[in-house]
Amino acid sequence: MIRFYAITSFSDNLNELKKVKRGVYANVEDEIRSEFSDRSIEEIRSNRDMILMSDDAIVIKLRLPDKKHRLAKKDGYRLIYMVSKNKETVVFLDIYPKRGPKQRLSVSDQELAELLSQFAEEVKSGNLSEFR
Amino acid sequence: MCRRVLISKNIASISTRSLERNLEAASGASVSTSKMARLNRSMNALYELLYAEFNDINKADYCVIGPQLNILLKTVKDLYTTFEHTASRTFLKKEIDELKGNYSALYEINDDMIRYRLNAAPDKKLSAALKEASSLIDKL
Repeated sequence: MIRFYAITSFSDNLNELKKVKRGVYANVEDEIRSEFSDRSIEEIRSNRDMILMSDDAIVIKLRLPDKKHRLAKKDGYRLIYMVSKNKETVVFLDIYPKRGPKQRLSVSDQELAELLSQFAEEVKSGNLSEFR
Repeated sequence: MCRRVLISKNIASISTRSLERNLEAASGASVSTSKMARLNRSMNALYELLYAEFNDINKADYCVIGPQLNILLKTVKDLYTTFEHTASRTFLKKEIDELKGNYSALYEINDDMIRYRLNAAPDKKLSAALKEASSLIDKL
């Protein structure tokens, strides 16, 4: 069974997006769950949006649509996650929209490094949460 | 090899049309909604083309399309800036928002190409962080 985890800043970002006025990003969590439901771990690993790879993990910057506003993947959200090559484990690292008041152009190498470091810290301190 | 010639022609066409719209807007002339809509559709198509070719683009390809893409991005950004500073925004709001979205998407895919497909040496701090994180993921 695939297990999903999320680092603290991912959960915070997600909650912030859901709180934005007029429900601009209200469906973001639905889009994430919809993307990963009924997917095998092989499908999650083999996503063509791979950006980094190591011996044991792959980091993927996934394009997600925003069905509520009829935005295709290009204009929806970016979800950055890490997936183990050996186990059925997925860790959500970041989520941001490409449109609206919280839009971002991209994520820098420094920001990616900080996300991965945060993951490492939370694993070591036992504070990493499951994403249910 | 990616469809370099097709990408290059698309970029050149869109850049030219962006500049034309910019000249129109800057002179105070009314910019037609249909022309802006066509420009946005072309930019959308270019993005999808770049995305489709993303895994096949090599350094030789990027030597050609990279500089062109940078010019396109600047031209589109200039067009958006002109709209920001002119009064004729209201009836074009939807297309201007679309333009901004297209700029954002093209900027990102260009940035991703450079960093994740063409860069032989990724950032050292990022490599170290990835190494540590990947050594821990299987301990969950």
